[in-house]
Amino acid sequence: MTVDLDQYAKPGKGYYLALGLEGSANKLGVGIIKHHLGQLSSTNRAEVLSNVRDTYITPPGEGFLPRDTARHHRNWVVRIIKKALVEGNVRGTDLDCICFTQGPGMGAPLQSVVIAARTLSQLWNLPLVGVNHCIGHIEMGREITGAHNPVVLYVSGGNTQVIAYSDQRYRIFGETLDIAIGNCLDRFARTLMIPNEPAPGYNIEQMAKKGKHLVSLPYTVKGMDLSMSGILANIDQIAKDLFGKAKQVKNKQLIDEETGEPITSEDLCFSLQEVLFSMLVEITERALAHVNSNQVLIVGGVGSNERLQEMMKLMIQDRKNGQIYATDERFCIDNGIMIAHAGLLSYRTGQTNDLWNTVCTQRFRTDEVFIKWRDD
Amino acid sequence: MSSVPTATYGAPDVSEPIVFEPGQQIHTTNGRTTQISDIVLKAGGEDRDKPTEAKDTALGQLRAQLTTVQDKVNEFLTERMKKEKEDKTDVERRILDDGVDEDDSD
Amino acid sequence: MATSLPYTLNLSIPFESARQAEIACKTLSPDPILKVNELNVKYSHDSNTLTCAFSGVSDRVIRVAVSNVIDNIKTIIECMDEFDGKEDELFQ
Repeated sequence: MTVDLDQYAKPGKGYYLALGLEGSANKLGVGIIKHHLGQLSSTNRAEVLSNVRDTYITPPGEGFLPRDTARHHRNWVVRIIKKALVEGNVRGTDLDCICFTQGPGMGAPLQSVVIAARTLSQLWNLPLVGVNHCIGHIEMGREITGAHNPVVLYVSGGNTQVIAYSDQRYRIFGETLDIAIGNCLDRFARTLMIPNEPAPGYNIEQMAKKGKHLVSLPYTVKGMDLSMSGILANIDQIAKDLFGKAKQVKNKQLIDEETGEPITSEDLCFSLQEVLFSMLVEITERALAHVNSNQVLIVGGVGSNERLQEMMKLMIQDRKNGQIYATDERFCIDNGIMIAHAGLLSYRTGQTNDLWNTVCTQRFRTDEVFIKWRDD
Repeated sequence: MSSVPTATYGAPDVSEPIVFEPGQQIHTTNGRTTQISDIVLKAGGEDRDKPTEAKDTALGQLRAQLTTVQDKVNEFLTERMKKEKEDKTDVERRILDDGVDEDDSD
Repeated sequence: MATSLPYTLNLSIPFESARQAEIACKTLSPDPILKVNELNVKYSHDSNTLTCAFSGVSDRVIRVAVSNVIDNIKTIIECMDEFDGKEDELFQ
């Protein structure tokens, strides 16, 4: 038996269209997705009609403040919605629903976007669908890659989770006990005064490609979970000792033991990535064994990191029929289309939010969402 | 009923309500009190997130006028907060100064 | 217990229509007030006018709340300016 996804289709219309709005962190994204009637499958794929994004950019060395991020979103949201409608060549009357990120994320940016969603929903008489940001990543990743029932590694600026589906929930098998991996990478980027654009850890990744000496760092897997703040504090201190600008301190020099060459900032980026990604591979592998799966889907902004994908691939190749799935930056990095897609799945099973039920929440766990559209 | 946005303020030390209206000046959507944080500008960042300009419509005009009212209210309240803080510091200083006198007499 | 909220500010926003004022009111209303013992906000609409009535324990509380609500109202106005009555339009 499969879930009937067509009982909410407009009469005489062969498809659904959803507008999705995302603004839980520093990316503002608006997308429009099309589902043809019937089950989604390799011959009936969701169609991306538009996927527009604008990022709040901070100067190197600065994190994004909620206030300025919210300001970015509210000053751009109407323009970006309009651009998505233009690119998708879609009228308001073509749409079935408006989907928005209800959480988790930063409070002020989430709130500034839901205001636009609520207004447009009433102006055009369209139902609202609140979407869990993590579920957006998972469902978009499954749709784009065709991974049917993978263990999901969700790695971004705000989240680090290993997730597996069972019994209409995406259950969290392991997660970070403190900071998210993208946050860890971004904060180290700030220490090195390199920019955080375009994705969490992107510039760390570029520098790491030139690194070759491994600096010893703590390895902190705790059961199925992991901890990263201690590693960050450790490498921050090394970086400050080596390259700090404080005048009274004479910078130390650190020498690679094997080659006798000095340790560079590239080496630090390389070492940080190696230790963090090894930890992720370890807990993902354990989740695979636990649920007896051989597919891994990597989603979230850090998921576009090629070294992470490569390390995960080495692990999965040792498993029978092991498969790794990842998406490119259009879908990995926060975007509106994933919100439109997951929201539309929800809408197709009759789930909408009335206005009073559209309050955004900074904490919204992945396993709180009832996955009505799957029954496997 | 007014055709412009207004704000009316009241407080225990204010005998008559204070009304803020847009006034006759030119109104824009780029408010003085809704700029990007100084921290960003000081770190060498630029503001590429200014609001869209008001369209030449009634709603465009309303949005610009409301921005002016927002500036007036924000600046008025910030000034009052500053003054209250100064008054408080004065009182604290007087009390502390008295305290110093006592210490001296020991 | 209700504490004293002696600092007040009333916002009055004239929209083009009663429908717009109602939409604005419904858009603002769902979000909860975080510190109910420090701040109270009431939204209402009458004819084409939206009214937001704030009362708070201090000027600081009023300033933060009012400026944030005005920011939201500006988004609502811009949304209406761009999209009201245009659901049949293909935007260029």
